[in-house]
Amino acid sequence: MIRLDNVTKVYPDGTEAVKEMSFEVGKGEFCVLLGTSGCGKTTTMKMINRLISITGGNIYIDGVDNAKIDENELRRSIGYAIQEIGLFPHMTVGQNIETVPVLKGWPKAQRKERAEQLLELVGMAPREFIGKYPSELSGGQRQRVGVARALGADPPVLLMDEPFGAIDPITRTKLQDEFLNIQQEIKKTIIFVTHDIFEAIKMGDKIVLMKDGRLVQYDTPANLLYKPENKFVENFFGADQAIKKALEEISKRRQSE
Amino acid sequence: MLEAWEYVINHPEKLAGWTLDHLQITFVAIVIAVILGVALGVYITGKGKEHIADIVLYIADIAMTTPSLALFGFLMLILSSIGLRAIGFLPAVIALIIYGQLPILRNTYTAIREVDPAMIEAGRAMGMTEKQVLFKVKLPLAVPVIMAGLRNAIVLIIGIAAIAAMIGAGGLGVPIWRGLRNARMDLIIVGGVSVSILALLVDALMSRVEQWVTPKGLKTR
Repeated sequence: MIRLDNVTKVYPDGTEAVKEMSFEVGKGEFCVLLGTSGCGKTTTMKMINRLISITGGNIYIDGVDNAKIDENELRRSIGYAIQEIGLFPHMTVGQNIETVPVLKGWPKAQRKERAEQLLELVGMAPREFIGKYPSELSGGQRQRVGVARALGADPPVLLMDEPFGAIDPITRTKLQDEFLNIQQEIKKTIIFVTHDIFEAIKMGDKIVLMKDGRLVQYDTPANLLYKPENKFVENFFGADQAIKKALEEISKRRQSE
Repeated sequence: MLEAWEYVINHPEKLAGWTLDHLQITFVAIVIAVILGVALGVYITGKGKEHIADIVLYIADIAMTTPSLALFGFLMLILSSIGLRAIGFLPAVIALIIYGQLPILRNTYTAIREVDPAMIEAGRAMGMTEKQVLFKVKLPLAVPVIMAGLRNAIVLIIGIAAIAAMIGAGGLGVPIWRGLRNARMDLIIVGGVSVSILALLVDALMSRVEQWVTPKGLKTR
C-alpha cells in the first residue's frame, strides 16, 4: 500500500534528516515510526503527503509514485491528524470535520451526514457537539475531533503525528484504546509517529525504529522486544528492566486479544 | 462654552451641513483606504515579497509622519501639475487615504504573518491550495488584529479631515478655521467638539462591526 524506496531528505544547508529509508506498509496495517526527537520520523511521515519535499528515492502509494500525483489531490486522499492544537479555532466541530469533504466538493447533505457519522464513531453525540467551537471542548474531545477530521473524506491512508501527545495520561490511555477499537472497524493503513515506546508497542502492528535518520529495525513489537537485531534496539526497549517488563506485558496482552 | 452652545442652537443647519460634508469626505476616504490597505497588506505577505513589504511599509511610515499641512500642499502641487483640481474634495480624500494606510497596512501584514504556522500547515495538509489557505485559514484568524487597525485608521481619518477645510473641502474644519482667523472661540469649540463626538460615535459603531465580523470561535468568552 505504501512503499518507501531509498527515501532521503537532505536540507539545503546539508543536514541529512532522513537517509535511505526503505520499508513497506501493507493495506490495513498500523505502522508506528518510533525514535527520539530529531531522528527524522516526522520528516519521513511528511514526505508521504509531500508537506516536505523528497530529495532522493521514491514513495509509492498503491504502486503510484507520489511525486506524480497533484499535491493537493494527494493530500485530500490522505487523512492527517496532529495534536489537538491543529483544529481550526474559527470553525465549528462540524466545519472542521467537513474541511476535506468541502475541498472535494461533496454536496452539503452528504457532508453533514458524514460529520455526524464520524462524531458517533469517535464517541461524541453529534447533536451536542457539531455546532461547538474547539475552545468549548476539553483536550480529549478536541483530539477525538482531530481524528474525526482526519477521517473526513474516508481516506484509505491516515498519517498521525503524535496525535495523543498533549493529553493527560489517563485520557491518553482511553483515547488509545478507543482508537484501536475504531481501527478494528475502519481498517485504514496508518502511519503513526511517536516517541513514546509504550504507545508504539501498544498501537503498532509493526514498528519502524529510527535513529539519526536511518531505519534501525522494522519489525513487529514482539520481535523488537525478543529478537532485537542489535545492541541499539536492545537498549532502546530494555535498558531498564521495569520498562522492559511493562512493555512485554502490553505486547502479550495484544497477542492474546 | 455657553456661546458655543448658543451658536449651535441658533444655527443648527450650519452644523448639520458641516457634519454632513465631513462625513462624506471621511466616508469616501475610509472605504477606499480600507480596500486598498487590506488588499496591499495581504499582497505583501506573499511568498518572496519580503523586500516589497519592507519598502511599502517604509513608505507608509514616511507618509504617516509627514505633517498634514505639508502633505496637503504637496498634493496640491502634484494634482495641479497633472491638470486635476488642486483644491476641494479630491486632494482632501487622497490625503486622508494616504494617512489611513499605515495602521491598516501594518496590522493586516502583521496579523497574517503571525498566524500560527501549525494552522497553515494543517490547512495545506488537508489539501488546501495557497488561495484556500489564505481565505479559509489566514484571513479569518487575522480578523481581530486587522479590525483593530481599521478602527485606528478611521478615528485618525475623522480627526485629520478637519484640516481638509483649509484646502476648501468643507466639513467640521470650517468653523475651526473661521474661529481661528476671527478670534471666535465659540466657533473653534463647535468644530473641535463635533469632530471628537463624531470620532467617538463612529468608533462605537465600528466596535459593533468588529463583533459582527469576528469569527465566533475566536471571541473570548
